[in-house]
Amino acid sequence: MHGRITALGAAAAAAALLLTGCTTGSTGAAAPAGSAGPSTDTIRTALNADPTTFNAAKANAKDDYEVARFLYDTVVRRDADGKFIGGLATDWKSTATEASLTIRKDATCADGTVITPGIVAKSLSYFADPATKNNFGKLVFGPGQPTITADDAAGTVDIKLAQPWSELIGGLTLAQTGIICPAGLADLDGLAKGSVQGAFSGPYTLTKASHGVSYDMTLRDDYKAWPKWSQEPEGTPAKTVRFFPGVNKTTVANQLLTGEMDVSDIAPADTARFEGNKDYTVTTVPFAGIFLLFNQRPGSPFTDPALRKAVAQLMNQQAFNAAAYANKGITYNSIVAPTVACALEDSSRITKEDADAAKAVLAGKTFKMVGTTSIGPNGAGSTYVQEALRAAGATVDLNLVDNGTWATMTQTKPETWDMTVQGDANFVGTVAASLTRIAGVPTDKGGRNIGGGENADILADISAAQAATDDAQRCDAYTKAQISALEDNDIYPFVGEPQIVAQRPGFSIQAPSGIVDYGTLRITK
Amino acid sequence: MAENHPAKRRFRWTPGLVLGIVLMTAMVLVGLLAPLFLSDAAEKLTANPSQGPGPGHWLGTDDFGRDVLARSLVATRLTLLMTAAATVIAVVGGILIGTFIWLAPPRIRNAVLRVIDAAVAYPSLIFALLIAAILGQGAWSAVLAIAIASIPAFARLTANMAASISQRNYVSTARLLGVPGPRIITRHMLPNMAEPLLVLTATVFATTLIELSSLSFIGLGVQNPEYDFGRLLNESLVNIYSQPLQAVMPSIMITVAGLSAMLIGDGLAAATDPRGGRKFGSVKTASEVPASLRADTQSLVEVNNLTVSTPNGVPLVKGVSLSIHPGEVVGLVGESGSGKSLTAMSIAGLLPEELTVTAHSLRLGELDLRKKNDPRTLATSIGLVYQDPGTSFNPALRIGSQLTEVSRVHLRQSRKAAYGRMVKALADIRITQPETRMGQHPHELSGGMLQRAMIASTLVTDPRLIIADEPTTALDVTVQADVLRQFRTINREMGTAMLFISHDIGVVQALCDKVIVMNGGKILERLTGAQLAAGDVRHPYTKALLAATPSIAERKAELVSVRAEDFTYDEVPDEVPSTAVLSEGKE
Amino acid sequence: MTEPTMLSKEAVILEESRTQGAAAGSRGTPRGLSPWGSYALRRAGGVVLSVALLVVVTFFMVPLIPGDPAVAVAGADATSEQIEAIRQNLGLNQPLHLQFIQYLGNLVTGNLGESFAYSTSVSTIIATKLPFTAEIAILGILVTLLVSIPAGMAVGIMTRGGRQKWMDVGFGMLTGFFQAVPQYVIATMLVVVFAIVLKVLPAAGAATLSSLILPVVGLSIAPICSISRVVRRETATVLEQDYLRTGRGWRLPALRLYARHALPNLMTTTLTLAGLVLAGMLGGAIIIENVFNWPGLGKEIVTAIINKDYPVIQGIILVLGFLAIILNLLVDVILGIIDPRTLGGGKSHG
Repeated sequence: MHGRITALGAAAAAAALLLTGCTTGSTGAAAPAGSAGPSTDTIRTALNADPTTFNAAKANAKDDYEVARFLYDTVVRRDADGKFIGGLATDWKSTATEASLTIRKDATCADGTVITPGIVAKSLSYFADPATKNNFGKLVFGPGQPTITADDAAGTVDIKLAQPWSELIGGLTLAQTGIICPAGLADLDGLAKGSVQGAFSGPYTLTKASHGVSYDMTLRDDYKAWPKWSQEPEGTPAKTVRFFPGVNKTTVANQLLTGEMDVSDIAPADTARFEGNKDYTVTTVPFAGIFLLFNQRPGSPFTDPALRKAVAQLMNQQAFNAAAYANKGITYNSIVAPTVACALEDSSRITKEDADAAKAVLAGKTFKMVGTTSIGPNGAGSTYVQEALRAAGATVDLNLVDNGTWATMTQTKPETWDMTVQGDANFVGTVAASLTRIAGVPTDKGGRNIGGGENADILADISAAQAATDDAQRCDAYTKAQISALEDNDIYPFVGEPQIVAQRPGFSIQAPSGIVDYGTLRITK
Repeated sequence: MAENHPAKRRFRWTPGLVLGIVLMTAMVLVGLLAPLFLSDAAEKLTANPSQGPGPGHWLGTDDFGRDVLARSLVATRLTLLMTAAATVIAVVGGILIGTFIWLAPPRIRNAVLRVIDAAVAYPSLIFALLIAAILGQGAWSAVLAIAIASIPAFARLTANMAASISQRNYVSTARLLGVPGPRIITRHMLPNMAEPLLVLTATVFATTLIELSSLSFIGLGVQNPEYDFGRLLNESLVNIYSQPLQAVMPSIMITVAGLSAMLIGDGLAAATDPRGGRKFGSVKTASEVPASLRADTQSLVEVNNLTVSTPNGVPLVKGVSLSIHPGEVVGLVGESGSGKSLTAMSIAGLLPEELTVTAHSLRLGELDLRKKNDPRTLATSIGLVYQDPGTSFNPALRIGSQLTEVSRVHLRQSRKAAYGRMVKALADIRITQPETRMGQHPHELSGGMLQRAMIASTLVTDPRLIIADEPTTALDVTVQADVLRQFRTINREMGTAMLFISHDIGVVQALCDKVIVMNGGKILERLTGAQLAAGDVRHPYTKALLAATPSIAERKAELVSVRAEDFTYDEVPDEVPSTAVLSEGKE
Repeated sequence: MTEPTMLSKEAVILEESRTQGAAAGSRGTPRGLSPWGSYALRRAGGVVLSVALLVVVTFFMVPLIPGDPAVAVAGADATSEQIEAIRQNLGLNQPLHLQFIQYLGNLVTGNLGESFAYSTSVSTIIATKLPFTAEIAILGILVTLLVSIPAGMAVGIMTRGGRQKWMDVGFGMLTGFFQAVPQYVIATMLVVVFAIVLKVLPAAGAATLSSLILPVVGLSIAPICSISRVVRRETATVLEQDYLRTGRGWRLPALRLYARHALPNLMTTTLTLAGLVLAGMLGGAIIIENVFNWPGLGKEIVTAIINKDYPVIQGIILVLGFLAIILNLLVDVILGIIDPRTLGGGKSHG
């Protein structure tokens, strides 16, 4: 009897030790430095979630293009002050309908293949191919199919656009346009899994992928194609970058403070914990414009401009900022960030707060609202709108859902909502990219406008801007379009969702022209 | 458990129960009143978001400029309502499933029971998450999710209780009489389950509270504009490092609510637990007693003026004196509560600690039993045989390891030596296949065999005295005779003295040299075995006992009319303890 | 989140220990078989039934989650053609019963399918994350048993039959308190105290052995309370049994008496509950995993629900359910070894 209990106990203990040994062995042993201090050649950072793919051309989520930036080089890079510098291209010429890029000769893929103009053209064609089914092709090349050809002898790639589109060069800085080497295009499954080492054109290769646990990227010994920044980032690139996916933001802040994490996005509410601490650097940039969007399809109450105006009169940017982003959001004057070229310069065009006037119109009304939990902690952004309308005597049936459900409802079930708080990540940094979301082709007709309001004036202004030959002309058209959207109360702009990147002493990252470039991650001591 | 007459038990108020009820009442009051007075402060958006504590807002304001304290208090109502609703659904659903499957055909019943078993084993959080995800967010879908996830556990418990109740006679009778199933449930099953279900409901209330708030915490529960404790915590824990005070009040409220429900559950369980409620005083073994009445230095065992009393001073044994000579078999006879077992256990030194024992002398040979003695000496000097062999053995251990325990522990024998000796001892008292028996568990042996094994185990230490407390009562009549023969043989062959306790005077007279009749904690009559056999008894109580023996069963009615109070005791008269006290004594 | 419903299971188990032997009525023993043989036969049927039910329920329940997985996979700005193409790719256009048949076919070959959202197979995801979950769950249950059994027994012995009323009340309050504090508050407090203020332990992550301490403690506190309460009550019951009086009559030393005679008899209830707790820890450490950034299965299933990643949800539920069934069986087998009466073969002594 006694013997058997002892044996059982021993077996259980042994099994536990065995299991413990297996799992911690795989993670613990790989990080001998542990949490004791910074390891000199590794940077630890967090991802919101697991990357859904390592195929840059299909990168849809933030985490996808964050890792793509390490693995794939783009032809052009964004520098400070809205300027561009060469990536794989050394030089480029562009007009509204075409561009010619000169490709550098010293760049190689991770398997040693020299990156020729032919390879670049093939990769960009793959990106532009509708069969690739990415959501960013139209942002880069505009409407229609571009023709991309290579001249290996001249060392150039030529892009001919179907329609005038002045954002091409800006679009080619997107990590999604990263050049995928031939080995990757030959094995699309492996490319998505990140298992094709020869696919990578960037400074790092994916050396370990453990779903939900961590991803390791290792610096290539033979990589020399670093961009020439106007101001070279200090420090050295890490030999290894380790990504921890799915980390709770508050937990990340703890880990940054205890030295278990080196660089990471943090939540606005946690910013205060770093601001008083001179050892830490905090970089804040607007990530996505947040605005209140009305459903203007027939059947929605907000086809009535008076109702839209009344709701806008209840909104307060500061209160929204406090509720959703702990006052860390960047105030918007328009649908785009103030840093975007041609953005409105002051807030005078935004509908003024007038609670009494609004109350008179809204009291007793009921609206359906759908919101995503990802805007503000637990969807506090949508909650703010609901509470503000409640104070005016209106009832808002708020359906707060995750991003996936939100997308389903807003894109495919317009009858389920009258208004929503939308986040608009403007990756190319142009006015058009945001305006087409609210005035372009409705989603039910294959466009990206979930509100369904087809504002013809705005569309005309966008066309005028795209066809414009000089910057002043373009900005005039864009200004008109922005004013039109605000006066019509198609949207009420709140603030820019802040992307706040905290860096532990000894680590740094740059955000040239207000967009964080993960390729600038450095160890500074 | 699930007694037929729970009402007979006294309800005992414990400190925990009182505290739990007080706290819960306070919570309910807050839930009732706070929304009436504090709704404005709790829900109105102001221009002072994320303020620290100040005169206007004792705990500061949240990100929307609402008063944190007011929100925590107002949230009480919804939290309690949701918890109560989920608890009710879980309890009612569980009871319905649990009772109605007993009306189903056995095949279906067994299948459903298996399914319930599997559902109970399944991590219910995942289940609740899935249900909540399917139903969408919101207070009532969270209530449903948690309630549905809790139903299997409740159903299983109800089914188990229903199983035991349905085996009772009155339920079988009702079924045979064609009473409809639902009526059996309402008339017979539910009343008998009410008490444990009530206790469980209080506990489940506490657990449901935490579960619901957990769902709200991960965003699947209550949605704006409604709020419960879980949602408040969800919102405040985001700011735990910048505004720690926000999280304090909801944490306290949820903890207090959960704790009070748990205390009520514990308290109800304790209040209705038949084992509870005993009181304990200090343990005294010293004595101040009258001088010796019958000193007997020749005897092996000498008990002089032994009293045993409860902590509140109620005497259970009132000045008993007796002696046992070497080789003598003394019988102690009396009905339940007469004090015979207490007397015997005083000699064995095995009385519950809370009882106070005093005696002028209490001795076994040279051992003063009033003092604490060396366990080894006691273990080897006194052999004990108990009433029910089925419960006296440890069900989890093999027979052999139990029977050899005294030899191994106190005689320091090796496992092998002790085993060999025990096998021989078993063979000696004619137990078949002793080696096999040693390797078996108690439940594999018959009661008679177990009792003989117990007797054999007392012999291996060669004790000076064997105390046998109703050793044949739990056995079949045929086995009884066999066991009695064993005692006789041991006494004859080994000359071991015995104190033999029984309520059955017929059993005693076959075995004993001397018989002592007890009642009400006092000795009524001392007889020799011969006197008893001859029917030469004087005391009417003894006569009545004799009348109750099976051989003269027709005079049984006489005993029923005879009560202890009717007699004049042959020793110092004393007030008669109430039956309530007697029944609480150790028997 | 820990397994909160655990508490009600604890309550149920406690009650069942009060209604001992009641379940015996539902058990029958086929004749002519050894206890283990008939036991194996009986349990095998139960396991098959449970697993079958699990597969069916899982498969048909998961698609009821609102939201279109194709839309979730496509991400923002996807066109309706893209969404339709994805739906086709994922096989969501087929009738449900055909999908089920295919699913069953895959299941037989051990294939749990491909994740909708990630370019990985479900088995890879589970194989990567289950060890992490198992690690804290198994350490958690060991810690729980090592603390709660001695503590519960000690309190049970000290308060037996109503002694030391105040210790009894204090124990009830203390354990009740730690069960009533939500796990996310406890976990956050652990981080604040040990990682942020004292800086003695890592705040999160699974990088080092020391990072195991806080998650395991956070995971174990509530079960320690609930199991020690059960052990305490069981101890009180066992101490009043006749066989303990027998042991006392043999004048056994206290340690031997409690460890050898009382302990095995507490194990039935304790281990049954521990099995349920362990199953709960394997599946329900969501809050702990969140607060401590522990890469376990609980977090994965929440993400999968958000992503409408049906194969991952189904796979995890299936694996966890299967583990729970196996654990249940394992506990019963252990109990059968400790106390053969639980096999339901012989007669009962209560």
